[in-house]
Amino acid sequence: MNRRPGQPPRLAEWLITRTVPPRDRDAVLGDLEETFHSEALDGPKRPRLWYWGQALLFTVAYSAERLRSLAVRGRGRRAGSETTHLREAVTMNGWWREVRFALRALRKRPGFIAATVGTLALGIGASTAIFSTINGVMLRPLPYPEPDRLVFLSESWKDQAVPGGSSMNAANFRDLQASVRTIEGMTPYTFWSGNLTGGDRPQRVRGLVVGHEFFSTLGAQPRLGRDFTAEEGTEGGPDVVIVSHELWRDVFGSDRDLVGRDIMLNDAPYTVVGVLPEAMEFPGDPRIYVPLQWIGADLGRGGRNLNGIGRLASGATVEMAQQDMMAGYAPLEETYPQNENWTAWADPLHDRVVRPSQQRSLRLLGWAVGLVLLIACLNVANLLLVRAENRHRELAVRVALGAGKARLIPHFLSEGLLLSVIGGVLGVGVAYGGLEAIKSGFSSMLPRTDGIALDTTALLFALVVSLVSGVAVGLVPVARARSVDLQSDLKDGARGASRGGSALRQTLVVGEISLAVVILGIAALLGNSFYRVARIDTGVRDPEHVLVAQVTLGSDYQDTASRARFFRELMTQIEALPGVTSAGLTSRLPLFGGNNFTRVPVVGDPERAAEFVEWRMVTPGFFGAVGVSLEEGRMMDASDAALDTVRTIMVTRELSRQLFADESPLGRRIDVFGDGVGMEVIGVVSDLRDLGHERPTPPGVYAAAGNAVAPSTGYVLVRTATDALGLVPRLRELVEGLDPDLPVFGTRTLDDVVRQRLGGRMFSVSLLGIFAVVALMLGAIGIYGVVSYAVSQRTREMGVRLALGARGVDVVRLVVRHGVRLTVLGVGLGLIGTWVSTRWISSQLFDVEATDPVTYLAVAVLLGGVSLLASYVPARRASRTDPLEALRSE
Amino acid sequence: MSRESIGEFEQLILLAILRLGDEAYGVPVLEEIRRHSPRKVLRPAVYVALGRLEEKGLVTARTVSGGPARRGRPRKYFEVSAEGLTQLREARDTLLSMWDGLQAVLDRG
Repeated sequence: MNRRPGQPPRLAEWLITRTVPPRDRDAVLGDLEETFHSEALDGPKRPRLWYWGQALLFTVAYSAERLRSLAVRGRGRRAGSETTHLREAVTMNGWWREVRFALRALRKRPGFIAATVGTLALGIGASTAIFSTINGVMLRPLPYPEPDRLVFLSESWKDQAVPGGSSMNAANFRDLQASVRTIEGMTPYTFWSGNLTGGDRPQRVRGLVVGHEFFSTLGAQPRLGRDFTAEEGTEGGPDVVIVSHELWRDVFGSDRDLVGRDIMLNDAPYTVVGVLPEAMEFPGDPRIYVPLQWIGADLGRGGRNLNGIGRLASGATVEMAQQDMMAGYAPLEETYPQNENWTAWADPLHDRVVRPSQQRSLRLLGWAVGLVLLIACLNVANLLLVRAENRHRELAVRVALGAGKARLIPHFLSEGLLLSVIGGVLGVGVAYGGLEAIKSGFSSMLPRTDGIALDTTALLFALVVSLVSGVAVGLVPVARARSVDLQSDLKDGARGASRGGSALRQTLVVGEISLAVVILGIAALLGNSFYRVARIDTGVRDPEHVLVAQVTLGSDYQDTASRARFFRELMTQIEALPGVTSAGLTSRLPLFGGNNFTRVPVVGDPERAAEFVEWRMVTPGFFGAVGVSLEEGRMMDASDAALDTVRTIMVTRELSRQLFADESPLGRRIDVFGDGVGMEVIGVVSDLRDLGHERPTPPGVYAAAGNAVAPSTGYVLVRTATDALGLVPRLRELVEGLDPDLPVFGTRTLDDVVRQRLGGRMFSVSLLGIFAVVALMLGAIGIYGVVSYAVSQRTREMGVRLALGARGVDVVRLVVRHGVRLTVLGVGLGLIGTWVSTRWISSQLFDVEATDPVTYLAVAVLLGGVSLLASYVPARRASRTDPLEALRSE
Repeated sequence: MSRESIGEFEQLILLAILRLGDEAYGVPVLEEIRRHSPRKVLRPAVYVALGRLEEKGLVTARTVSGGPARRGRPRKYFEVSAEGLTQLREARDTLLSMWDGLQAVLDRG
């Protein structure tokens, strides 16, 4: 929805134009706008919200005024002229009377109102919340011109199930820039982050190194200052930086004079040339951008460390671009052995911001919440139908007196609409609460949660859903009322429902149960998958007792030895803290691998090689902190760290299995760096599920961080006997003591890291679980309602049976059988429905068959049990019927 | 023909218009009433009532084009008509005569 800051919301204005008569319209709009501006000046008030409130008040006030004047006029007219009921029914006046009639009739039944309005509020609220989430996260386009044309460029291992996603080699990228025609403005970027100093406290700032055309390709321009120049994007160019709006606001206090000044990044001065607008979105949420200055340099084909973006040429599709990238890569694969079995790929940039798996989860939730809404509507329709049945004699009388069946339409429609609109208003409250919960509970599992809001689009959605549900639930009893048969309905009077009505009600309940089974079934299958995934042994032990923190060294630490010295000193000091059992450093977090060597052969036997070997630089404390155990050989020690090149290495069990099968790897040499000399295996440790729970364990190697290799960004892992996070302040002090310019960031427990890996599943499973419980409850209410109504209609029959000697048990059995019939039918249909719908979730199932009999049986038993209970309650009541009372009541 | 007498809220509005003189359009009318009345007055109620008074001929209105703060939308200024004045006077007389001699009651309270 487009926003006009400083002006009243357009939709609210439109609402006023619709309701205020032309005579006053412009003056009202003008007065409101005038007040709107003075409200905005007066300080903390929220003028847009205020305006919306006023718009609603005006709508209500003028609508009421119009109805009042219609009523006044109607009174006058009726006195003079003959109006037929039918015509009256379709005039405003007749409608209004029916609305008031419906309102009066409803007011007498607070229980009924609570049940129906509550059910609708739940359905409408849940669907509005999920809609806003889907809209904010997935549907909202990226804030750039023609965002559909933006693509993300990557390389891809040819055997990957889903192509794309790997980093690209800079030389390959440069060659593709020259050959690919379907993508314009191809420009590279790579992640980078810097320590920003000079403020109160050093800060870690995420950023990107980008080609100088990066912003013009996106279609974004700095709001202050300027874009990068071509000169700044060449080797030896000046150190300049463009900062994000957030950094400008939060760190530099929105200082307009920032452009042109120097800021200190990694201990070096960078001149700020631009400040970006607020509307920027890019994967990783970067805060600073510096120009890439080495793409023109003489580059090898070995490393892959950047990605690219581009714009589809006019008329080109993503598929064409993908073909073009692959075709452009083919000669590169042929020429350079490092590119063997690789190719290049293009994906929509939007899919990079919101991953396809996340989009699938959101879509699934959308469907599920739609079903919940449908169940809620069926439930309310059923309740309305029961009410209509109870009043069918009254209706028949009205028709007989000449009310005209057309009169019944406004009556029931307005009843349905009234309930749904009240339900909708409460539903907006439900949605608000739901969204707050989603935003606070799942922000780490979903991207773009900042964009989720109960905005005008969401409110419109709630309105439309309310109106549609209102009409839908109102029309069901209309359909029944249309078939009012004067003869029989007047004749059999109080004796109860006609066959047609009860068949319709039973159909509704069966539908309700089967939909509930579908949601329950899907939720159970995914829940089962989640359980299995979460139970997988990742190799990490007691992660809740491990503190994780990140420290990145600046440009003062150019040589490896100084980096190693810093981290070694830090580890020694941490280990001396009370309560710490072990502390270690790693260049990558456990479970977040992905930094690998494509091929690692055994020295002297180049045919024997392991592929995609995870590489880590660690200190010995790492293993104890994570819970990885030494299975064979010895632990790395100071002698390994002291070597000037990596000559000794520790390997994982998986690597040992792949390269040496059952033989011992100790003393064997593997060639990680491809130098022909290789490294000697000194120890074997237990495995980590380094690519996430659901992917197979990769082989891995661990080099001792020391004089030969040491990371500049290190993850510090500290295992404690007590509260892990309680250690953060002490850790900050220790780092500050060693170097006051270094920030400590990304502090959390290792358990948070593990959860983050499970995030996507956790999100959809927990919401689906909630929906399933709601569906189950609504289904139970549906069964209860129908059986209980049937019982009340058969009071006399029960009385006769009991009088003739039937026992209470017989009556219970009779009634329950009725409920069971409906349940069995509903569950049967629902299981078929579940089985059909599993085709859409098969990719999200893990270690569970789509036809898993245990899950299906469990769902059937659960729903069967609940419905049995729901029909037992009224059955019990029936069995206690006093025969005398029952017969007398006739 | 029996004339409907004006209600209390309508009286408040007419009085506000009189007090404001040349400046009587929607925004100040509402402010004037809010300043004097302890009741919570909703903005739309004022406009609906003004419209009703205009229909009954108790006020007359003229529109004057508005400034940039209103994006050119006109202001609608109101004036109490002769008929309006008559009704206000009647209402006042009725009230005053009803109050007459009740001072003691009030003091007792």
